[in-house]
Amino acid sequence: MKINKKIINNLINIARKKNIYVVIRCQIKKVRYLDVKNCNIDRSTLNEICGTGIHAFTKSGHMGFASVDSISDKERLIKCLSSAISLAISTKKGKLETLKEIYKLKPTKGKTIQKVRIDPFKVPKKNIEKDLLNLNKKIKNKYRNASVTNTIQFHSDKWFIYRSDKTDIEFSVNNSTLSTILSINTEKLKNDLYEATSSLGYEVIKDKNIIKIFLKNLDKKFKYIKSNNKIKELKGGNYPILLDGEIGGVFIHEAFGHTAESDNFYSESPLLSNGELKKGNKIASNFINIFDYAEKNERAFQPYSLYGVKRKKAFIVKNGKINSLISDFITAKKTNSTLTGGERTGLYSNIPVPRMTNTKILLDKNHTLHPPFDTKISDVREIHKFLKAKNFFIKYPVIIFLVGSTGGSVDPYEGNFQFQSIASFKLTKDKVEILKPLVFSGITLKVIKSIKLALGEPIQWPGVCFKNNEWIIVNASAPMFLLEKNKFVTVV
Amino acid sequence: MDKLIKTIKSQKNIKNYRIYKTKSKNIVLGVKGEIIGGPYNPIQTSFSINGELQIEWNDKKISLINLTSSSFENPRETIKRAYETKISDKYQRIFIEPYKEKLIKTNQYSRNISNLINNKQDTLIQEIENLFNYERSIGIIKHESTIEASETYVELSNSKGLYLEDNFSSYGFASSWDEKLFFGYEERKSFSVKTYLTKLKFLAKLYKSINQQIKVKRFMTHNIKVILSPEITLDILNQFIFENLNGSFVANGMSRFTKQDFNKKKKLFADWFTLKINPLKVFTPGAYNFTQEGVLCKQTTFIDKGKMITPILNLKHASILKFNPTPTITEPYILSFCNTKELFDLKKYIKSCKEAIFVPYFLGLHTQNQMTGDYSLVSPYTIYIKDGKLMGRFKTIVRGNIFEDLNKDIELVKSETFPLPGICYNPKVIIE
Repeated sequence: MKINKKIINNLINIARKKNIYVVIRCQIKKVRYLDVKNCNIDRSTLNEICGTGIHAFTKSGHMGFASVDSISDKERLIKCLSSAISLAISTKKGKLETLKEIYKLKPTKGKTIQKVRIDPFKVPKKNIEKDLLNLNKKIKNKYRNASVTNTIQFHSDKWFIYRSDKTDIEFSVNNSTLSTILSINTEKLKNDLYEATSSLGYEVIKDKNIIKIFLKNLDKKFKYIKSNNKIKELKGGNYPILLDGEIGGVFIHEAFGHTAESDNFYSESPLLSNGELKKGNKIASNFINIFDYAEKNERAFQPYSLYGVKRKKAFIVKNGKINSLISDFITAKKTNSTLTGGERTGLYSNIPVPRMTNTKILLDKNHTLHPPFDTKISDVREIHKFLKAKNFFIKYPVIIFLVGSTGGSVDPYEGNFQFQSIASFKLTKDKVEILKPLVFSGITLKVIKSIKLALGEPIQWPGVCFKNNEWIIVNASAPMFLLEKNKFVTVV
Repeated sequence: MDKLIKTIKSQKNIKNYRIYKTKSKNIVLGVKGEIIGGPYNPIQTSFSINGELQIEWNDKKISLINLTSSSFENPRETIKRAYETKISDKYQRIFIEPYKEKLIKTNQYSRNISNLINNKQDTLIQEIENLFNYERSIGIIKHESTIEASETYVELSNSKGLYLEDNFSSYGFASSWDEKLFFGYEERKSFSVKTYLTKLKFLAKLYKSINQQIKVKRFMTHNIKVILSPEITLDILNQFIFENLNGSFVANGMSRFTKQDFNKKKKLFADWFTLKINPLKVFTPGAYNFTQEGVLCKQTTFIDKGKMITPILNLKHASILKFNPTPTITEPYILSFCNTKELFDLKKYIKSCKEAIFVPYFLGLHTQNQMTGDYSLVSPYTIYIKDGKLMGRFKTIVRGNIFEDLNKDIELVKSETFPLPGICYNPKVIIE
């Protein structure tokens, strides 16, 4: 499947003759998926999706959008363009909202290809099957009572963006995810857990270091959920909380990433006041920085927005102060934020909106402790020993430690959030007690003030994010960090 | 004949095939903030062809791939792609023979929807304006609504000579009031939004109450009656029950329910809990005549008076578990989960409550553990009810175990805005 530039130019010319400005967005997406359940291949697919989305704008800025699942069928593409144009005209009649900002964008040309170490689409299918079966057998042998599912997914996503102002952008991005679900259903114990790791290419299953960390984390979580039978319930309340990098990453994504998306201009966000960014408002200690940007070698890399604007780093919180939003050309000016080219979508038929890529929290080195072990794979007892040696329990007699996350949710309107941990512990000077997996909830801007220090290096959370009725690939990066007791943060 | 079918038939290494094809067209218009048809919700149409291709090769291996319009345009590429993904799967080698009796078609298609999609864009604009104006009249500032009309043509054929086709149409809207209250409505034919608005009166009362924050003592653990909105009740069933009924999960030990639970018709829930669907309801959203594998739909009971009857099964997992295949649960309009219990009117029920809370929605329901059934859910906009009056809102955390909750006696409340009832029960409530 290839883009036919002649057809694209023809569409732009047809639109021009009708005084219509167009943004044409073509996508070619390949997905290979393999699922192994209890040592048998359960599903193998290779899907190719392609299509075109066309935005049509009248001179007055009235707009219409149409999409078709083809990038090369001239007749259907012309029909799609006609639909977009006729919808734009109908909105003019209906006196609906206009968008004139489109005419202020500068023409851009560019091509960016995200390279992979091992291209999964060039690996023979039988090798992929063999590698995943071997991994599944290895895990199944270790956890004999459990049902074991391993899934591997490879994505290659090519985008082509053309505008009437001669903008011509091409970029391709890749992503590979390896995951395991362990399910135990016995008389004594019913539970399950999910572990995932990610890279750009086939190395996700071939790189020994990636697999080693993956299996260690799986083992650690399995031990925790196995002991969930002996657990205690915690009386809900405010406590000092230590978040591991995984739940910390989910927290940064949900609580800060989502509140920083500039389309909140049309609803509400704790970062906005009367629609404008509260730039400069101090919300955290000076040593806290939160930003959203995926480097070229990182998961969720997006070099251009899907309107063809170059994506820039969104420095959401800089030295503890509100600084920027993840913004698009539609709302950057309205919210008084820097334009970061944040529009994303997973599919050509959807409308791009401001969305995260890789959201990161960094604490400066004076507020980061470096334990003598790797916090990516460390066990609760190692952490307890370290905290005890550093006399943490004098200041914080009880610390609630939350490990892993099955996800979270935030209401960007008022900043209420909720995160579910996979395992939870009550740490006191002489004891480590396992608790029923706790929920951590609170109000976004109130909680960030309580971040006091980080432990170890950031870890990567290879996530997916749901917004606007679609899931897209994202990432978050956070070290283990400690939150002081705060009346707006509850664990229960 | 379809280019793809023709090419498949010409292949000597293909023993059997099944093609499921859908052609869909829709039109959508939305409101965000105070703007109708703004940049994030412009008026938009889409046209797509999708489907699924299943092939049994001469070496007995199986391929199952998704189809898009380019798959039909480039049949040789499609077959090559299918060949590349073939696997050994003896349970997937089922291709249904043509039915002897003629398929009784339920009517699910209205021509006036097609007219709406192709020629009546102004009507759509007018309809969303009606909804928007009503919402504004009751004080909503941050609207988020969409209105959508769609039509789909479905066609299924296989190498055994089975040929089935059907047409569907749908028209409906969904709305969120300040992200605090949610509702939606759908029909197979077009209707006037204005006629529906009268049903929203009680919801408007709830909305008023949600905007009044009340002060309470924090971290009190209450034994208070909890009324879950019908919408959140369905979400809970979806998260904990429907997911665990998934045939693939049951067959692979990934469900809380085991094969033995169904074989022995084990009683895991209270008598009032009967989960069944009727996918053959005429002119009903979610209703359909046959599955994409060609299995004819019929009324199906998954849980009967608390006893486990069958998982939700496609042909493969029906064959593994030795049950009959079933239709899947699509929309609430074809579903019921209680057929004997009295349904109280939500409005009257609230009036009769001495003390209770109403939960419109939970944050992060999808993060809860399906296997254990434990939940600990934040409800940022809980409405407090005292002596039958809506007093205002506070934030609560509701805790429990869904498998224990559904094994107890509960009460059910029906609202005008949703086809299924909400449940009233007594879990632990923590005021945050």
